[in-house]
Amino acid sequence: MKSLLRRLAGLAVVLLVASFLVYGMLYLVPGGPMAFLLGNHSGTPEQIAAIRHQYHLDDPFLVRYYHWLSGALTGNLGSSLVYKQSVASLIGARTTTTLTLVAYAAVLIVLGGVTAGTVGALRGGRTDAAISLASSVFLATPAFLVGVVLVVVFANDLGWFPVFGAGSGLGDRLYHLTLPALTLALGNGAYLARITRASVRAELGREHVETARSRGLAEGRVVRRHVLRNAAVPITTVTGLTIAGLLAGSVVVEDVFGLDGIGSLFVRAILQRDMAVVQAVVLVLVAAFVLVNLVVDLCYSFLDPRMAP
Amino acid sequence: MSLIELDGFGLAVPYEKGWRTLVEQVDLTIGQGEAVGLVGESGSGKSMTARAIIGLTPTKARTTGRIVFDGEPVTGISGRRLRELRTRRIAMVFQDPRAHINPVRSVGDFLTEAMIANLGVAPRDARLRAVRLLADVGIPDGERRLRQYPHELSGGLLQRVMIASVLAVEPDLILADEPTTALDVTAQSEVMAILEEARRARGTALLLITHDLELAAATCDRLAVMYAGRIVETQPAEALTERPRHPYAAGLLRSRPSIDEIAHRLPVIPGRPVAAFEAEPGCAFAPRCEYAQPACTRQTPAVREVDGAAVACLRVEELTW
Amino acid sequence: MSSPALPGRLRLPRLPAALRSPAQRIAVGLLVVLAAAALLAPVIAPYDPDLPDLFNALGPASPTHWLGGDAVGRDVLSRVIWGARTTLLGPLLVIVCSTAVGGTLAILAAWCGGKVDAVVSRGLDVLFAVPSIVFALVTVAVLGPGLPAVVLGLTVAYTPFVARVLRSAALRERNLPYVAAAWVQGRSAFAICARHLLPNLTPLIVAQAVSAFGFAVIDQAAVSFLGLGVQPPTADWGLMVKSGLDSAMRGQPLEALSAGLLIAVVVAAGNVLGDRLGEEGR
Repeated sequence: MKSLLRRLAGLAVVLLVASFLVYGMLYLVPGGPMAFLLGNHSGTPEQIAAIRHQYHLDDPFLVRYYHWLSGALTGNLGSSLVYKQSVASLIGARTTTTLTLVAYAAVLIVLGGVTAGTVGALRGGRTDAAISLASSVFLATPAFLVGVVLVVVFANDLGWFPVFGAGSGLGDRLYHLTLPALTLALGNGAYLARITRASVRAELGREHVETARSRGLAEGRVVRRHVLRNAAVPITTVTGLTIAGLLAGSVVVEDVFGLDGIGSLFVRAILQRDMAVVQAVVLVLVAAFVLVNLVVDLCYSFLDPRMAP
Repeated sequence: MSLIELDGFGLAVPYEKGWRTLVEQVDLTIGQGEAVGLVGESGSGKSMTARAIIGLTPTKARTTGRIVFDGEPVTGISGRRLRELRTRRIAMVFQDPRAHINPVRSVGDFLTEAMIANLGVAPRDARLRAVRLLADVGIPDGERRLRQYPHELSGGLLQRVMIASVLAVEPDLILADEPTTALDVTAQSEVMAILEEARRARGTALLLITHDLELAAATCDRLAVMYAGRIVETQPAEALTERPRHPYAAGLLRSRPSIDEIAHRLPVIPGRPVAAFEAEPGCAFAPRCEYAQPACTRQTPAVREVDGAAVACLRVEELTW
Repeated sequence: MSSPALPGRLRLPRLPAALRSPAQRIAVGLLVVLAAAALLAPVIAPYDPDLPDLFNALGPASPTHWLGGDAVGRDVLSRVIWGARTTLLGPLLVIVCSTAVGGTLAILAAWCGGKVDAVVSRGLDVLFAVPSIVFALVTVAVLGPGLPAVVLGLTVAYTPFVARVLRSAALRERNLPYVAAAWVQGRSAFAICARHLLPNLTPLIVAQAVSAFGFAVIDQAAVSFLGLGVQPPTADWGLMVKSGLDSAMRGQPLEALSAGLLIAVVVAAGNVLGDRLGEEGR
């Protein structure tokens, strides 16, 4: 309990520092915050005055940061200069697409990666060699390349899947998101398969597994209750880190498949220098990343009694 | 009638393109309720021999000779038969309980798992039995211990838990592989005493694997000394400590400290122990043996009966200590 | 096995051991060939990589254009060769800089301990909370698109990974008796770090750098692919996959495929070498 509180406090500090950096980057832009806020647009004097007022540019830096942060905490992330809309609503409208994509990919990664790694480690021989080779290949292939190949082959040439768009309704959405999710999943799944294989193999050679065998337990039981159960500890850690990284990975995948999610909003905002959006998306990404890591930590201490709080 | 009999048992593991012999021509019998000590240095093949009895040989290992348990062969039997053997007849106590007990499962899980899965005991009954077994090995607060995890127990306590788990299946034979080596000195004698007591009370046979000749002599009825994968001498414990016949056994006995005498410098056996696959032709001990003669390096000495001792030494009749 | 007189020199000569297996030799060979192609681009590229040729637009592979032409008819082979320059140079800078910065921080933290260590470690924790590609994108947002911004962003993003691994290794090393021995002999902290600590960490540093190189290639290419890194018309493999997507849909997949495959090959070679060197360094 105490260590949980300490972890939460540490997490709050990390988020606070990160938010400070995110806000501070406004002042790193050549030309200062005005150039940054105006982006590529040349503003009229009224617009400039409005912006100065809106962003409290005449206040000291820390006061402005405080205003921005307290706004962010209450869900007010400012408004976009390009879309003339609140950033919160811009992000909100796109969370479904991005979260569905990430969740879909996460399911594929866990199912595929853990299964492939476990089968490889337990079967050994040619199966293992084939799985290891495949995972090395997928690990070395950047997601955007996988995406391009899938689009060209399955959507363009074979016509099995729609090329672009996210679809509407759950079934249609999943259908539309299959190729993107696969793209996001292949490299990450290959990595998880590697980790799983290594963990299962390491666990197979442990002394306590020998004990379990010496007691005449059925092999299936030994594998389930001792090998896989113990390998689950490192596998869960890596799975969590992988899933935390998926949000960042979705930036590229959404771009390949023309999905209107948070990632493509982010890329467009960077190109258009729509900094309120950039700041907000980074803050959201970092917060999500840190939160997933917290969940992983909790799972970890739940799975391994030696780490229990 | 003997409970278990090893007859010309040998074991080799694949290495690069050939085989590495770890155990060779081992003959050993253990009677009902008898305690036998298998003594040797690390690499002598003693641990591998014990593991072979319940089929815990390395994958791809090649075995020769026969192991017969209670009238039925153990070598080359099906996985199911082997499991039956492990389930009820033979149980093993391992060297390092910290490594040999699953760290993420509770002590209760460890103790009851085999009872529930193999013997069909109901979980509630299994826990009750586990508490009684813990009491038998000198752990009074069993209820609390069952809920704890291995890392919360000391090495000595954990080894008692391991012994309790072995007693749970009421085996005919316990294989104990260096059961006290990983423990503190104070815990060692306690654990040995508990194992001894529980074993005698139940009439269970014991094969004690150890490098500690003194410990083996104190616990066992009969001793077998192993060197480079072979048994070089077998005698009743008292006879062996009083009159060892093989130069290696004699060297081991001389190189241990005694409380009764003041020794300025303990005699040591020169050289280092070798594994079976490193041994040169002839008697493997010959290069370190002060009594070695040219004949010793020409042929491997066969095991011979001399005054109730089985000894593998060409000069056994001539040598006395 | 270990002579206490020369602890600093013990593990260094083992680096070439990484070249023992065929996979390692192939990996090194591929990287050398690609590096040579990048260096010699002006000499070996058959055409001007930026020169459009309408007759070769979306042209198929032919004896004159081995990999065909892109959408505006530029020779794909020449662009692939020239593209090796930007594609490999950026990640190389990233690795060199992040290794230098991360290694310095790690040794500083491990050597000084206490508050310095605490500050460095907490700082790294914060950096860890930001995925590397997000770092690169944020830097681009601030400094504007282009290679310098991407290199800077990725350098910051990769530093904590280097620093964390090296810090714990340096900490282990620092607690070895030979460091205390050198200390007693009156060597300065700097001398001990430079003469003993650093050489002993070298295999690990190299292993870390080699495997990070692959990831840096992927990250930089991804930013280019998004249109935020290297800007057209400069030849770059990430960009070529992007522009090749359209060509591929119109029946000319060679541009995207050749550039994409080369990225995968570089990354795979880095992984193979890094894995192996990692085992050696341990």
